[in-house]
Amino acid sequence: MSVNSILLTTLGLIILIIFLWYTVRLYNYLIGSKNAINYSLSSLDALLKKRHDLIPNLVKTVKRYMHHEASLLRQITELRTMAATEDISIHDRMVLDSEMARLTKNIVLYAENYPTLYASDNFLQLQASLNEVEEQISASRRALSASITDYNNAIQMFPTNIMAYLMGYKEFEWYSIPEDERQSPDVERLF
Amino acid sequence: MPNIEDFRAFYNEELLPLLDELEHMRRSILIKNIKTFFFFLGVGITAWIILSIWIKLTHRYYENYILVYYAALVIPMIAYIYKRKKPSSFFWRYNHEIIGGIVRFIEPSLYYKPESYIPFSSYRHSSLFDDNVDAYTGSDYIYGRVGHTNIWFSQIHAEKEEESYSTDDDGNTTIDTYWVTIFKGIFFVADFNKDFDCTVILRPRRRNIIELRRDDEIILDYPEFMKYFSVYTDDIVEARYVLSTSLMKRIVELRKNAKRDIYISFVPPNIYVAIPCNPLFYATYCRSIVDYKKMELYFYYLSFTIGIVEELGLNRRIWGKKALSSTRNR
Repeated sequence: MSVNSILLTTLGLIILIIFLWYTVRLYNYLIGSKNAINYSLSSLDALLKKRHDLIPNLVKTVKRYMHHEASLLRQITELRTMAATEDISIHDRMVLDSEMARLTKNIVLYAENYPTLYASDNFLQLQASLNEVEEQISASRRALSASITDYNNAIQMFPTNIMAYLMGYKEFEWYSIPEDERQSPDVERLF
Repeated sequence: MPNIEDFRAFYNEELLPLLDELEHMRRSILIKNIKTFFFFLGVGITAWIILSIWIKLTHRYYENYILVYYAALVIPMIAYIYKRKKPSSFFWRYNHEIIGGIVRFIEPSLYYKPESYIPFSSYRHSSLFDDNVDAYTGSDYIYGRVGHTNIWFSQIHAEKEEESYSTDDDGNTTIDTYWVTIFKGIFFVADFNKDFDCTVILRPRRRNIIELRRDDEIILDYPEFMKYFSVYTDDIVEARYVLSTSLMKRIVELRKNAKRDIYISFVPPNIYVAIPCNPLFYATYCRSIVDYKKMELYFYYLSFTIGIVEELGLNRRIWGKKALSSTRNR
């Protein structure tokens, strides 16, 4: 075998190894991107359930004081019951959650009119838990948004779009925040 | 936190009388040691002269008495080192009364231990730097509580020993060892104001020609923050819970105020901040210590470091994790 053919064969092998390595990286990247979306979705689902689980305690704490807000408390309890259904989709859970979040904010705002309630340990602890889960849900949404952007970019951009096509991957549907939650709470509308 | 005007008043009312007293102490130590030095130097020179005269008069050879000449100079110098007045009490008072005084002026609930430093276990727990360390030292340990937040920080210097091999023309290999600094500067630890269960590391962003992302690297939704830092984490959701948009803004401000690269990590239950710099607190008894500019520098350095708590909003405890009721075991 001549020196030239040995060199060419070696060069060919190196190019092949680099190509295979790069292909594996692209494949793993797409798998990782999709898994990131699934992870963010399941985190968001778990955190929404966590917020819903706080609702009964919130209602129980404020019920003794906020007699005039019975309809508000009833609304939020009903929403919570609907959200607690096992086979509800993540999208429907998010829609219910945005309404519950709005009502929860109103309850907390309204509780300022009841100083005894507002200063009680139970209520302060609940508020802290609600703040915590609110921030966690916000983080989960940010992570989901970033994961979906990453994944959709990979689906559309060269050369990952080639690998995505071969793997049968399609664009992921974007979950946007319902319009209601973007507005400031409207206490007047409720009472 | 007190401002520079408050510090100026504090300097004039409290620090200056102390500095004057210590200055007097310093000068008396210095003068005594100078006198002791010249006394022993005189003894050595006299011994040398006497020896020279004796050798000349007895017609002996100078070369046979080289060792005696050396001894005539070295022994008095050794005697001087043992007999001189040690300035340890001066340094002790300088550290505890001057620097400790400035620390307590900025935040009365803080303590200062000049000889102590952040333990190696905290350095390793931060996951900020290589923990393959061969030498770890430090000084100026400050700890206590600022508002609801426990803090502790010090100067630290972590180094590792490396070897280089060189071969000469005869084929003999020489191994040279040298020290490489892993980190030298302020190492700050505080208990973070949220409960979290992941590790997040912020390193200064390095601009490379080819940007290769590590698997654990994430891109966050705040461009100015991403200009300064590369972010690594083992949980993409919790990392965003830890690094809220408001915290990222505050970290950017901290970075701008520091005017240098900083390293930050979040490892439960703490936040770690490492700022490279040289040690600042030192006094030499050969120079006057009554120096307002130097004291002002100490004040800025301490205010900046202690102010990290307010700068990053660590006292804001509106989530599940409340203020601790006792100081942590370090």
